[in-house]
Amino acid sequence: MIELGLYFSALIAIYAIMALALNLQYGVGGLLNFGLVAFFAIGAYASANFSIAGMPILLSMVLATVIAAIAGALIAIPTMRLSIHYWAIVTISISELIRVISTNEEWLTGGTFGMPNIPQPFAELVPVSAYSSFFAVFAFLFLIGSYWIANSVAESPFGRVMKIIREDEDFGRSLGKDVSRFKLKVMALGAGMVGLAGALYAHLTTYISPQAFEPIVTFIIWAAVILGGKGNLKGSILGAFIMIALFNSTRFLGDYLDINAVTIANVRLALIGLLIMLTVLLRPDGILPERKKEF
Amino acid sequence: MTTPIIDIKGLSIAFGGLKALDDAAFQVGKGEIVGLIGPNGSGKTTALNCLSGYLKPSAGEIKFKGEAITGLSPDVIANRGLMRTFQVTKIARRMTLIENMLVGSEEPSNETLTSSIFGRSGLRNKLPQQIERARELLASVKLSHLENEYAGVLSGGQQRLLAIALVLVRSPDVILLDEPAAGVHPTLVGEFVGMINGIRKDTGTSFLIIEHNMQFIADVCDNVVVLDAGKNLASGPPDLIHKDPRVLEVYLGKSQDA
Amino acid sequence: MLEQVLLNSVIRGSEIATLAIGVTILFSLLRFANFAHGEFALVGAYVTYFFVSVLGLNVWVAAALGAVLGGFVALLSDVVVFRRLRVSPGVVLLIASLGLSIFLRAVIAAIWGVEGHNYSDDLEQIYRIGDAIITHTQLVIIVVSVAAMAGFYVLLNRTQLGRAMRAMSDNMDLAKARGINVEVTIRWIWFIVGSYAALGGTLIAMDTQLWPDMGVHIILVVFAATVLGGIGNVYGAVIGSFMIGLLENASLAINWAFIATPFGYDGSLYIPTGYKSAVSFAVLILVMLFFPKGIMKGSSGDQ
Repeated sequence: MIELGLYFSALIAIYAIMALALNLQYGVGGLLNFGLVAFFAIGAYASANFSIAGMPILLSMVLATVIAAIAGALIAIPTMRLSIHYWAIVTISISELIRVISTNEEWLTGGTFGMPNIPQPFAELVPVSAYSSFFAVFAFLFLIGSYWIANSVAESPFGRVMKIIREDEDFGRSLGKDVSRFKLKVMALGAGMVGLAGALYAHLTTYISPQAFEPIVTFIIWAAVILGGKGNLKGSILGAFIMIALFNSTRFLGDYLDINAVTIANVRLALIGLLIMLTVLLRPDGILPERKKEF
Repeated sequence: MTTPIIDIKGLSIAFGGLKALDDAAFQVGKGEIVGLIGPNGSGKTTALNCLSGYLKPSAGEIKFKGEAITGLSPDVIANRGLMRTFQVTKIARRMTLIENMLVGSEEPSNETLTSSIFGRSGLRNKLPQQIERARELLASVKLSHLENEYAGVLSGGQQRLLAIALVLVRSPDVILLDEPAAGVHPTLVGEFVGMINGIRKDTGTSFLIIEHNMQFIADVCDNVVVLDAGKNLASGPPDLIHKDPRVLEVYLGKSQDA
Repeated sequence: MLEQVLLNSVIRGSEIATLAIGVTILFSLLRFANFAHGEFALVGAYVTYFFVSVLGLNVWVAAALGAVLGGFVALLSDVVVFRRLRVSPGVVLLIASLGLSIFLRAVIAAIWGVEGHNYSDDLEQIYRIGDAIITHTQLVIIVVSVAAMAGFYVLLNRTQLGRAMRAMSDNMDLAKARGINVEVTIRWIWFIVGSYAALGGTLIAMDTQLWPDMGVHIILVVFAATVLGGIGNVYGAVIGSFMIGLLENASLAINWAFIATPFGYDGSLYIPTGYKSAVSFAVLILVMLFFPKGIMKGSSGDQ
C-alpha cells in the first residue's frame, strides 16, 4: 500500500512538472498546446534508448530534455502565425503523428511491444526496499527545480512579455517585441520540461509503450491546469495532484464494489470531462486564480 | 531642406479587388505634426498600418530616417523609433498599469530566457529604477493613482492615456496616432492637444495623426494631408485645407466633428 | 485499381462530409473548433446500435432515431454548456468542448465497453463497378449521404431557418438588427448539425466498426476538411471532405518509388498500412500550414 502511495507520489510529481510547463505556455503565454503528450513520448523514448544503450541515466535524461526542447522549437517554427484554434488542431495532429510513428518504428521504440527493462537511476546504490521512497524524492527534486524555473520565468521581464503576447500579439509587436521568438522560446522551454517528465516516467515505470502516450495524457494535464488555475503555478501542482488522485482513487472502488474495471476507468474519465466543463462554467479562473502583481 | 523623417512614395495596396491605397505619397518633416484626414474608407488607417509594418504594400517605398522600412515587421520598426497607437486602444487588460509600463520600457537584453533564470539578481537590482521610470510616466498622464489596477478596469479615455504613455516610454522619433480623439470627452481632447504640443516642444518628436475631429487637426497640426479613395487629394496647412473646395466636396454631407 | 481508390474516396468523403458541414458552421457562427463533434457522431452510432441490438429495429429506422437523438444531445450541450459561454473567448469554448468530448466518450464506453461492435453479422451483398467492389451497405451510405447533403442544401437555401443561418454567417449584428432571433436559430443549428453528425457516425460505424474511439479518430480529419474548404463555407466543407477522402486513399495506393528512382532506387515504395491514419494527420498539418484560408472562399470565423 505504501509502495503504491510512493509510486503515485512520483507520478504526481511527473504530472505536476507537465502541468507547470503547460501553464507557462498557456496560462502565462496564451499558447494552446494540445500536443503535450508528443514531448512526453519523445522524452521517454529518448531517455529509454540512451540509458538502455549504456549511457549514464542522468545524462540520458538531460539529453532527452534537450531533444524534447528542440522538438518543441521545430514544431513552433512553422506554426507560429496560426490562430489559436488552428494551433490547437495542428499540435494535436502532430502528437498523433508522433504516436503513430512510435507505434510503427520498432527499431526506435519497440513498436507496439514497447521498451521493457529501462534502467532506474542509482539502482545499484539504493537498497531495493527503499527504492520507491528514493524515486519519489528523486522526482520531487525535479519538480522543485521545475517550479523554480517556471516561477523565475513567469515573474521576469520575459514572463511579462509572454503575458502581453497572451493578451494581444499586435500590441506586443507595437512595443517592439519579437513575438515569434518569444513563442519559440516558450515552446522550447515547455517542451523540454515535458520531455523531462517523460524521461522520469520511463525510469519510474521501467516499461513504456505507445499506450502510455495517447491524447488522454494531454487532456489530463489540461484539466489539471484549468482546474488548478491558469496563470497560477501552485495551482498547477494542485491540479495535478487532484487529477492523479481522482484518476487512481477510483481504482480501489473496483475492489470494493462489483463493477467492471473498464467501467470504472471510464467513470473516472467521465468525471474528468465533467470537471473540465464545470470549471470552465463555474470557476473559469480555477481553484487558485492568477495573482495580481503589485509593486 | 533636411530629409523628411518619414517619406512615402507611390504607396499602393489592394484587398481582393478593392484598391485601398493607390499611389499615395506624403512626408513628415522632423519635428513636424502632420494630420492625415479623409472620408471613411480613404485609406488612412491602411496607410498607417503599412507605415508601422502591420501590412505589406504591393507597391511603393516607405523611408524612415532616410532608410527604407517597407515590409519590415512591426517590432523592428518600433525598435527603430516609430511608435503607434491603435484606433481601438490596445493595452494589456489583465496586467496592471505598472506592468504595462514595465514591458513598454524594458530593454530587450533583460527579456531573455537565460536572464530570467540565471540573471535573477541582476534583474532584481535593476527593477527599482524601472519602476521609478514607470511611475514617472504614469504621473505624466495623471494615472498614478491607478498604478496597481488592471488596465482593463480603466475607462476608455484613461486607456488612451495609458496607450500614449506607453508610446512615449522609449522616446521615439515619430509617433503615429490613429484617431486619438475619437469618443473622448471634449475636455480631455483639449488636454491631448496640449500634451502633443508639449511633447513636440520638449523632445522634437514628429507626429502623424489620423483624425476626423477637424478642430483637433486645426489646433495641433502644422500640415495636413488629405486622402480620398486611397489617392492623394490635397495637402497644406490646416486653414487652407479647411477652405479647399475639393476637400469640402469630398466631405460634403459629413459632420466635421467626431 | 483506380476505380476502387475513387470509390473508397467517395465513401470516405461522404462519411466525413456529414460531420464537416456541422463543424464549419459552428466554427464560423460560434467561433470555436468543436472538439466534441466526433462524439455527437459517436452518440448517434451507439444509440442506433441500442435500437438495433436491444429493440430489434430495422437498422435504417434505428439510424433515423439515432440521428434525432444525436441532435437532442447536441442541443442539450448547447443549453447546458455552450449557451452560457456565448461571449467567452474561443479558447474557453474550445476547452469546454474538449471536456464534453471526454465526458461523452467516457459515458459511452462505460455503458457499452471498449470492444468493437457491429450492427449485423450478416454477410454483405457485393456489387461490381468495373474492377471495383462495393458492398450494399457502402452503396447505401453514399446514397444516404448525398440525400443528406441535398437536404441540407434545401434547408440552407429554401427555408426561413436557412436564410437566418446565412444572414448570421454574413453579418451577425446586421442579422440581429433585422430581427432574426439569434438564440433560437442557434438552438436549431445545434440540433441539425448534431443529427447530421449522428447520422454520419452511424454510417461510419456501418462501414467500419462501432467503437468508442471513433469520435477521436474522425475529428481531426473533419477539421482538415473544414479548413480545406474554407471555414464557414458549407459547400467547401463537402468538397474538402471528398478531397481528403481522395488524398487518404490515393496516397496509400500510389507507389511512391518514382520519387526515388532518379537516385537509382529499384523497387516499390508504398506507405505502410500502419501509417494509414497518419496520412490524415499529415494532410491536416499540411492543409493548416499551406492553406489556412482554405482553397475556397469561406465566411467569418477566427482565421
